[in-house]
Amino acid sequence: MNLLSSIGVFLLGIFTGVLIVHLIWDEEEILALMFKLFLGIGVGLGITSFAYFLSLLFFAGQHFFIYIQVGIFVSVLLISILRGKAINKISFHGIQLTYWQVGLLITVFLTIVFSISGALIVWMHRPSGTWDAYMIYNRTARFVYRDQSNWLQSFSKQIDPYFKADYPLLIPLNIASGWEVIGHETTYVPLVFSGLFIFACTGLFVSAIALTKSIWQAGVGLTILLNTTFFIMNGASQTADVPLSFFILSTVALIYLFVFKQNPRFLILAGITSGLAGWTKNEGILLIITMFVALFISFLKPSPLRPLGLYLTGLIIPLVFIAYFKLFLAPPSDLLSNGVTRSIQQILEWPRYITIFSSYVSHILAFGESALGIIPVLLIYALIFNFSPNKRLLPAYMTILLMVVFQMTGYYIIYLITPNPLDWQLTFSFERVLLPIYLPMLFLFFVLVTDIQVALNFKENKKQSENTV
Amino acid sequence: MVNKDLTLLFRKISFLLLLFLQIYTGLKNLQYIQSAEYNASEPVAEWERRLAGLKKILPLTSGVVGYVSDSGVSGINYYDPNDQIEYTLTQYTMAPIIINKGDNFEWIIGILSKSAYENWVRTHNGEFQITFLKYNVYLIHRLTR
Repeated sequence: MNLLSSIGVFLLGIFTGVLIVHLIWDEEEILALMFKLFLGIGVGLGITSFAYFLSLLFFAGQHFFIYIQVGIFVSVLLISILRGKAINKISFHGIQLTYWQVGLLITVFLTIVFSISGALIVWMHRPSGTWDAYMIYNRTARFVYRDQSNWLQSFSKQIDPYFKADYPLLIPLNIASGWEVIGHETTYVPLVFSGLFIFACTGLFVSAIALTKSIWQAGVGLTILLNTTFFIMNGASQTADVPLSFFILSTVALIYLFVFKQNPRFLILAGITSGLAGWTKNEGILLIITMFVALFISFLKPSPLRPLGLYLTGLIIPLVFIAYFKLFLAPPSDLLSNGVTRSIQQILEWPRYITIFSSYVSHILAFGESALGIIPVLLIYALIFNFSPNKRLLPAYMTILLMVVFQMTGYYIIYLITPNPLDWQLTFSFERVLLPIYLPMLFLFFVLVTDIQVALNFKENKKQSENTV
Repeated sequence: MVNKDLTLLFRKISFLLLLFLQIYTGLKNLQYIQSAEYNASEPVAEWERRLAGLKKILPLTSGVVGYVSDSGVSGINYYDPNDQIEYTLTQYTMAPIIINKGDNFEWIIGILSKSAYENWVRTHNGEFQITFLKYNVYLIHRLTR
């Protein structure tokens, strides 16, 4: 019962998110609808956290968030119906499968079963998540839920900076609002929340590749992603890395779709998702900046003004929330707690550069905690199937690559000035920092490498009859 | 033409191999997760039990409370990472009360071994009311400065 109600508390937010995405982009093709469903999960949970934040600011202690949530959902539903954007037709083609495709489907099925089993094992052994979960996100959620009238104490300067009370609020506010709606604290709420993001992240990754290449290419991508053990373990551990990965991947996929389909609305959605990345974790705030610069450079010709304008349009509301929280509520970050002088001294210590660089190399090569290794598999795969980039999509490739380079540079600088012991910081954070970069890179890999359908000459015989629901 | 056919055959064999490898990897990864999690502990529930008595008698529902543990007591050797985990768990369990390391507070939570407790008492002047709870947990009330 607890589990079912913990799933139920997120449904209103998710439906709202899906409808909002559909209002902005109203394509009804089956793969587009799937993409929107997965995107809507993250956007909906982002909107839930904004709504809860506002309800706390104005009505703390009143405990009627469920009515606000219902009100938002009904309003969005009415707008959808009035604007005629309700989904009324889903069409798909029947497909006759070759042996190769059946083989791939079996592999996909088994990989999904192994991954779900892996996540269940983590949840059974650690229902309260790992250290970061109860140190930062679930702890803040408890502060908010247990004493809602004094919820601003969650950001008190008296809280030890070690607990990172300055971290953005998407996760804690979803958990606290879930507890409020259910009426009591349960470990199922954060657990389900983490599961939703593993599901949404995987689905978004697959549907984005399917939309732009083929479902078979997406299937191969799925097996690689789910065989990244670290993705499953980290996601089930209730930390913020998979939600952040989701929003970074969404932003990247939407920018790719903007270039691919030439629909400017994708950039508005990309602005929203990059803003939600900044509302999830401090590294997401770095993404807002790096993506802005990457877009500026990639779309320099003919002019970056229109893409940047659209991106900023989507970004503006999340940015207002982030700015308000950071400027008026959050305690200072511990990043510069050593003082500016010490930070400058650290920047001038050249051995730190070598330590960080060698850690970058070793962690990247060993990334994923997969039995076979991710990088070697991808290298061999690329050698066999070759890359086949599309010249028209060059600005999209460039934006993704530049964003990754800028993010990595940003992390490099943070490691240089960190007040914590460098070795400790690198050991315990670097793989987690890599995860949100890994997903866009994996997406870029599978849109660049030759479509498996073309490489293996699949005979895709579409049935003549078209099924309409 | 022959070259093209050979390339296609090579790719098909490689693809087949990839599918097998992916299934094998998935299975190995699952075994890895199983063994990694088998040794993992769930400290939160244990800590909730450990501090349940303390929560009942602490006369505060908000505000700041001090925290002392073995590592903060002079003359006591203690493995530091465990100390940080215990500090984190105490804050998580006691929320929304703010827990700060140190003993310069009216109310102090002590997570102390017997020798650390004795050392702490020996090195602190002033008047304290100390309640000993189970599992090496102490509630210390500073009566005078």
